[in-house]
Amino acid sequence: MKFTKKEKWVLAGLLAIPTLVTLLLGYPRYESFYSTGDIVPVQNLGIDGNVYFTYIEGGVTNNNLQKFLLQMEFFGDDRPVRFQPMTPEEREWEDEEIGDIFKEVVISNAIEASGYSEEVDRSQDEKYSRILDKAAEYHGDSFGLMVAIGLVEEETGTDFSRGGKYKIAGTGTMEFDGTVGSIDGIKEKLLTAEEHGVTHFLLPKDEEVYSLFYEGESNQKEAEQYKLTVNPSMKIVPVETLDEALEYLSKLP
Amino acid sequence: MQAKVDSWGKFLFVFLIVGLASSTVSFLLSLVEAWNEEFYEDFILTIDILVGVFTSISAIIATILFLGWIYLVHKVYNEISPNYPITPGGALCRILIPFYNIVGLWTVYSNMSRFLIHQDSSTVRHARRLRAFIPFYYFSHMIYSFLNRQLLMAEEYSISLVLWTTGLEVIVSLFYLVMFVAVTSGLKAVREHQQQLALAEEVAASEHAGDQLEIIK
Repeated sequence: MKFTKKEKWVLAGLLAIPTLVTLLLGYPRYESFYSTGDIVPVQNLGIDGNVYFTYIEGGVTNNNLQKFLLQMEFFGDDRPVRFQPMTPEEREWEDEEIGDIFKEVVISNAIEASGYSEEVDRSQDEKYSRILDKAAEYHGDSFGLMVAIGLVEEETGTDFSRGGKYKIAGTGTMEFDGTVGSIDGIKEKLLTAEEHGVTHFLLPKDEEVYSLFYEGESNQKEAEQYKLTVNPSMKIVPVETLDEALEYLSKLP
Repeated sequence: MQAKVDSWGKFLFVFLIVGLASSTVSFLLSLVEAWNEEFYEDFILTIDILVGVFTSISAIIATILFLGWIYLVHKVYNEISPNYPITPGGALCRILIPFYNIVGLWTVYSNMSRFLIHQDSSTVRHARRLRAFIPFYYFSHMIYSFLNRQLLMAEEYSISLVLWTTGLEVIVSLFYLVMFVAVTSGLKAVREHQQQLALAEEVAASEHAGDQLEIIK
């Protein structure tokens, strides 16, 4: 079968169509994605508290094809999804599943910062194992603040929800000294909370320190922008430490 | 016209080969899935989807080329014999119109085979070969279309259905190729027969002119 010069060009053009589309879709492009999720009572983690932590749906796409399929899936479910390019450092973290290590650390910090059963031997270890076990289906460390608040409720017998009058949710990591750390996907967490009728949403007060560790907008700044654009019915409360959060919650009428 | 049929035929042939190759790869990857699902999901899934994308786009182009080619083939047959039972547009209708194509697809090739039988002893061999391939081509195409629809509509994922569909895709791709070769060689034989006829007519005409010249002398 012999091809003329013109036929060769036409054939090359025709073959280039599927080849280019396939290469374009398969081209490696690492992006993290965020979409709204749900609010979960800390009771689901085995804590006798009345607050909620917020989780969002998220993950990583490795190429344009995965991104496209995901967009189609979320479009079909009529849910928004946001993509964000990943830094090489973030990719490394993802590969090493460092989020799960952070989760272990944050549970430990929450127990320590809340002062949970300081006097009782082995009680902290048992609580740690129980929370870690119950939190197996959640990734990351953004529930640290709410776990700590829940532990304080359990320890002191306080009900910050005032018998269900308030629906208190929030997000933020927890440092050993009780400092609340920044998290990812704050916009989606705010949306999730609003969708689920949360009345008070706690988040990291990190405007001053965010730029020291990360790039882009701080959680606090993003929350302010969200407040201005969406005008949510819930109260958005930035807190710097666990003590600040507890002080705010205890002053609720 | 003949050059056009040949060009479309060459492009179609390449795309049929590509289709056969990519469907074979798809089948092999499905076998890997059946063998070890975890390994498949970790390392093969993305490749399999990409092969699927490539195969699908190639199949769309191959379908367009096939429709163009079959239209031109019928145009040639209609030029050779104005009594040819199927017009180029009629051939496309027989292939494209749902339900009508259940019968239409078969008649497109059976008429072609019948035409070749009545042409000349030199084309009979091609006619018989074409006629012999029709049932294989037709039934593999129909079963494949049915399984593919089942796979798309299935609520629960079934690896055995995937294996049957991808396996049959390889077979049907092979029969597409076989039918293409049978039709092309049949068309070539008809053309040669027509050329011989034209040549014989020319010789007869020149001999007749020579006789007339002698009478005048």
